[in-house]
Amino acid sequence: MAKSFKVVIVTPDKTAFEGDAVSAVIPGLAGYIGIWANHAPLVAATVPGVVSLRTDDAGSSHDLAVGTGFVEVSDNVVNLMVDTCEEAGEIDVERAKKALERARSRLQGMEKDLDRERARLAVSRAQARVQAIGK
Amino acid sequence: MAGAGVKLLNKRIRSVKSTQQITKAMKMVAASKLQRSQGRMLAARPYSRKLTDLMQQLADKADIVHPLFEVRPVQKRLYLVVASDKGLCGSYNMNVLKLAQKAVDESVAEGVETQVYVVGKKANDYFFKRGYTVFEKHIDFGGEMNSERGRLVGNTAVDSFLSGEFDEVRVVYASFISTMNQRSLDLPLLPIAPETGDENMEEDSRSVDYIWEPSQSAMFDALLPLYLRNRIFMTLSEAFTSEHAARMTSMSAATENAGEMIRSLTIQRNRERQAAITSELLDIVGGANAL
Repeated sequence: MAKSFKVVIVTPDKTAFEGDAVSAVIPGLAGYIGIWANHAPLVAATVPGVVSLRTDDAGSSHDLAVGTGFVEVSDNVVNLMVDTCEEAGEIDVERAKKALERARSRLQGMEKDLDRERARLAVSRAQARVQAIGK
Repeated sequence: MAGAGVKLLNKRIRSVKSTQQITKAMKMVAASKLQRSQGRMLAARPYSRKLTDLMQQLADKADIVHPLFEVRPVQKRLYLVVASDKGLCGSYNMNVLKLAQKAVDESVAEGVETQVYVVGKKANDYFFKRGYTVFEKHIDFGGEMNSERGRLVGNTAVDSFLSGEFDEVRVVYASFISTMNQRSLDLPLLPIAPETGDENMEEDSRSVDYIWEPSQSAMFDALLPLYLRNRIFMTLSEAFTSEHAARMTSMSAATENAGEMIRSLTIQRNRERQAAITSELLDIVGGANAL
């Protein structure tokens, strides 16, 4: 079995996930970041998306929709600090899809830069949720 | 006459009883609020701690100049004072407000123009009545914390610092140690002082050489607002948790005192009633004997 490492996901509300994984894929600012055991120390900003954790060699994976935040990797511990985190199972499919549509239509009607940025974030959060269910 | 005294005592007992009912109810409400507030605060701590660690590491490593770190000669200082909206919580407000007033007075004595930024009606009343300049106030939080409020307070503080309106922002609040123990603290908020963290923690983390993605300065821009918002969020949650704890403790004491009072009043009433009965009996016996 491949070497595993510890993953901790914390949000302002709770410690959302704590456990071991063989590999992790994390949505970084500059693209997805794949992490295996003994990864070099890393600090990266993350964007809303899906975190996929492979928990064993058989390939069973664990998907979580996360919001913006940071990831820190050192000594085989992956610390993920994000503003939101939901397990795929927790997400209400219909609601997530509706939220995505709503966010998209709002984004289209936007003019101002600041609101636009927020709307764009809302869209990517909604997208991440829908994506997490689809996996 | 079996009476006036007994009647009066009965009335007092009734009134104390109804007070006791109120204090008991308040104690119960405060207890449940405390539990919720404390739970949320404890749940938020790991996130806050990790964020602080990361900030510390970044600040140690990078010699990046950021406006939020800028130490300017202090000509104007802002004190963020967190107290409660409602009273009946023992010495909670007084402790915080006295410390705050002392700090503000000292700051003024240094020749620094000082204003207060108050959270909580009690703090607002206190400083307003004493003629201090209130920069901004929030008097409708009611001891409930949420991220929207954290953002609101955080943005106000950060904007006032960045715009140069104030050169230093400090915060005075009651930190939550335990249900029975809250301590008023006066801490610097802005400019960010990276050294204020846990010292032995820094030692370990300094040795790690991280890959930064994106660059350190971009990371700073993203991390700092988050860190500050979180810090203010934690400060307020802690202050509100302290408030509920103080209220619960003092209301519990008040309920006990009321019970004590009822007991002694009841004894006094019974004694008086007995005395009245005895004297009436004596009258009757005396009257019968006289016949």
